[in-house]
Amino acid sequence: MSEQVGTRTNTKALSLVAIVGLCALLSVPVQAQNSAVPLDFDAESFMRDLSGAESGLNTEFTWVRGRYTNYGGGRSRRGGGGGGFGGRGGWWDTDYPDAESNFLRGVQRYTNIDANSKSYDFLDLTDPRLYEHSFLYMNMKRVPIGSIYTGPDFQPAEIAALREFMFRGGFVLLDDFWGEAHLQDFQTEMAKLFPERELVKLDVRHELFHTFFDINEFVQVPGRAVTWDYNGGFSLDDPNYPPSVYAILDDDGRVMLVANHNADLGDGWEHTFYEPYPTRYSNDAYKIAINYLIYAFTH
Amino acid sequence: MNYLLDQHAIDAIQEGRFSFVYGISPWLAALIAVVLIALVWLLYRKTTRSLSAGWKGTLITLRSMVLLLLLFCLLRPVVTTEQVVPQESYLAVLIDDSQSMSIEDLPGGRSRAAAVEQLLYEGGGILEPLSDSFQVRTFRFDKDTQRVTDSSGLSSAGTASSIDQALEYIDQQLSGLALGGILLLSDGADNEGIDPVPRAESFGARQIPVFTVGVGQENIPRDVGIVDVAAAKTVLEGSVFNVDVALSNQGYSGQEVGLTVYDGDTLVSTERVLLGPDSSTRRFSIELTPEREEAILYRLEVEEQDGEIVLQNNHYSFLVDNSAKPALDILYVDGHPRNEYKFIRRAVEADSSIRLATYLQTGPGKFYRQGIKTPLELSRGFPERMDELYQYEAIILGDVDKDFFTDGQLTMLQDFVAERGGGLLVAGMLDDLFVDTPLADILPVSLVSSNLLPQPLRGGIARGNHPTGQLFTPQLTTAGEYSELLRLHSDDSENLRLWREMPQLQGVYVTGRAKPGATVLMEHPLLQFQNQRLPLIATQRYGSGRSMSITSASTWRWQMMMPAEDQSHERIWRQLLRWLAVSALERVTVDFDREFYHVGDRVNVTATVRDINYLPDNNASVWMHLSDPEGGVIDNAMEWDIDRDGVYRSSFEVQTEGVFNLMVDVASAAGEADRSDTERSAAFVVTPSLREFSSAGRDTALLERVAAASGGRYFDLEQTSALATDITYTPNAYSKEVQEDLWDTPALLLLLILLLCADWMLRRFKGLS
Repeated sequence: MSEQVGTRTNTKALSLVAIVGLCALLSVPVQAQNSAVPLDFDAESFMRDLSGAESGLNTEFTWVRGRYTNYGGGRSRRGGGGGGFGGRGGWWDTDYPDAESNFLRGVQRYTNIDANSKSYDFLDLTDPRLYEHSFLYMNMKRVPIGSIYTGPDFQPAEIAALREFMFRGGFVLLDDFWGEAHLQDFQTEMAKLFPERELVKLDVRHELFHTFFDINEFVQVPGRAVTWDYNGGFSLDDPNYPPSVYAILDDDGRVMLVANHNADLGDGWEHTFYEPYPTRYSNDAYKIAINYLIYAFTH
Repeated sequence: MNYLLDQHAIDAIQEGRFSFVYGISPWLAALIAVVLIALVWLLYRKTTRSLSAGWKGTLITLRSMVLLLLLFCLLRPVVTTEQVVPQESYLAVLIDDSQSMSIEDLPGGRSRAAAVEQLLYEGGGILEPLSDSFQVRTFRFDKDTQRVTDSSGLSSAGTASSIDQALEYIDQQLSGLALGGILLLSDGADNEGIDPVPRAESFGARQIPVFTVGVGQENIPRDVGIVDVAAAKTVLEGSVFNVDVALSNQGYSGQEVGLTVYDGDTLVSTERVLLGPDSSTRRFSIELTPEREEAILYRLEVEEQDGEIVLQNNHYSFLVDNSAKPALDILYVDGHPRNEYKFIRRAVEADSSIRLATYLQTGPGKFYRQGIKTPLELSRGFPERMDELYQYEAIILGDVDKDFFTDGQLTMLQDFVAERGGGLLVAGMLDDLFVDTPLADILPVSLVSSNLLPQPLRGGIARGNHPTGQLFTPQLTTAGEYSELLRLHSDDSENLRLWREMPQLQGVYVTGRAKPGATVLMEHPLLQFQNQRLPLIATQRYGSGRSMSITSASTWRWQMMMPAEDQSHERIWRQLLRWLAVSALERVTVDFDREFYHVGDRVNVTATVRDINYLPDNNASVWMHLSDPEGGVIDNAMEWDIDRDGVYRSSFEVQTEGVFNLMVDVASAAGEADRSDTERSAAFVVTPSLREFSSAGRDTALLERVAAASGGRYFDLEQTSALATDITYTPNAYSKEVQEDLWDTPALLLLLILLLCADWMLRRFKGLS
């Protein structure tokens, strides 16, 4: 039996994005200004952040993003070299590192996990350093919508490493794939990863959604080029993309891999400060991911 | 009929107890002898035919000897002896009837008991002549003594031998009668530990001699035997029981033998062990993993060797109590979500012997509970009441801030360890605010304010570019190498090898030195404080309880940096937590005075009862329900021992072999009828004894000392021809002085006839009339 107790943070969470946004605005001078400083503004961590005294690698927790092999082009984003983070390219780095930085600031603010806005990193799935961590995030982006074989194409060595990571106790979060075609693609990759395990569609009553915040419905966190665009078009809560959460369980019934279908948590975090991006969706992206983190640290 | 002089008569003559009834002056006797010889010489001066001087001399000598012999008899020679008056006194015959008498170590493969039976009863055994002199009373003895009428009362089944007890019994039973002696037939393998010599001396003082007859071989030449078996529960992972087996050996030095353990008909363990030198006892350890949650009766067998005489000590049954016990309740409080928390939880999740209730601060003002039994458990945070806290056997504190506790809670934590006997593990960083709290007192390491630490040690971070945050290879101390807490393998060298392959840790929380009474199991390879390596894992006793500190938050690396199938991390944490919790005081404990019992033994049960605050409870009503192996049930109230607080006792005798189950149920004065911790089950086994077959050689020295101390004599079984006479003629309190005529001794008559015949034949030969 497990249960969360304490002050109800749901309502408080509504101010989450604003605070995180402010911190980001001051430290990363982009996006729009917001002059209101909330009363529970964490000046200490903010100053630490600003001064750069805190190195992300000194925190106990490091958010690790996995770099994988893509269909048609190794790890390169668009079939060849160039582009993408650090010149390495590949869809794996979608939203990197702003999404991480923003989200971790929220983690630092709202949880007791030892992290700060710089405690992120990315690793190849086959990098032995992967096992020095217990939480792995991967963006499963595929372009365009409706295409198949455009996202991750896990290679045998990557599959072996991922499986071992999870069997040892690691937790994997997959994000950002849309529609039927991507779901099929995802299912194919999962079948490669765990041919012997069932892909489970989770109910919102699952413990995973109640470890920190009580989440009572899955939200379609808008994804760029799917349900919104910089050019202004939003089709929020598009019924063509019903959000759901898939999981793979270990032998003891613990979730070791979770995947958000028809939601883009990465965009939710990355665009925290983009004024047209609806705050409540960002908020939901933070909430569900914080729940995943707490679940990973407790199961 | 003895045709020659009895030994006792010869002894009497040698001792000068010889005289003539018609005593005349020796001068007169000599004169008569001279006269007789002279007369014969005179009569031979003239013979009908002439004889040579030689022949004459011979005939004179022969005839003189005849006359002198007649003179000797006419004077009526006697010896004075001490003899029993027939049928006026008693002789007690004590026959050893213990199991060691069934050993077949006599020529022809005869058992000791068979040889004794033959000596006593078969074909006019010695009991027959003894019955002429004494009223014989026969008794069998092992650890008790009973009267028997004949050999049918002997069974060689006694599980122990006590000569002292047997002599005492005779003393009590026959002391009112005219006890003239005791005949003790035994192998002398006394194993009750009471020296019988003082009692023999007391018989001697009363002139009751004890005659001893030793049976069996002094040294059993070829034997491998189980001397002792002890099963002890450990905290090792997987409910592993270590069973210590002691094997004695004679004649099979350096030989390899098979040691096999069966659970019913199922073989559960087998290994080959090397025997020690002759006459030595070597100990071997067998690991058993019971598969059923109940008291299991195992049968241990040591392989039978060629030419082995004693086979009874090649097998033994012992009990391992693996009955389901309630899980140890451990409370784990952590100040923030971290890998260490996650992996400690995962390590013990599958271990049904531990329930880990965790209270994790996930965020400011937010807590997450896991492993709770009821929705109310920990709902108000760290327990504020003693009974809430005392329901746990151990507490783990992770990275918790001082303001997490009130002063009252910290004091209660101290009582929890010192009085309730619980375990406390601090597996995280304690900040400076804890330095002067009771927590600092409980821990095996001293807490030092960070501003008193040298600069390189300040920090105490989990990871990072700082001396305290770097990777390191932890070093096991000597205590750690052999500690069952950190055991990865039962074999010492394999254990060390596995430890050398363990992944590095990262980050150390700096505390002060280990306290003087602490045991450091693991330390940092490089960092030192006051010339002592920083302790990583240290333990100590504190009051009735235990405390432990682990100063790195990276033991999770032993899980994530090892293959998924490796169980080292799980094993270590389960062992650490079991050790921490297992010695916590229990409300009710049940103890037996011995580990194993034999049929007829008295079992003394002690129940120690504590009240809800774990203080001795003298007002409880304690019931004991005993189920015997045949399904019989006895209910008994246990009686409070007025001399010891909280202690209740009961005792009973066991009459059947097998497993006895016992349940002690306490209803305290405070009335907590439905609490499960107020009853306790226990089991014990009644087994055949090994004692009779270990050191089962004949103890001649003991039997000789008993005989000598009482004025009796020792006889080997093979040399008992003089036994009956010796018993009859050895002076005792009821023997009388008897003058025994020697003139009618057949030997004298024979001598007379021989002399006369010789005389007559020689005379005929020479043609004399």
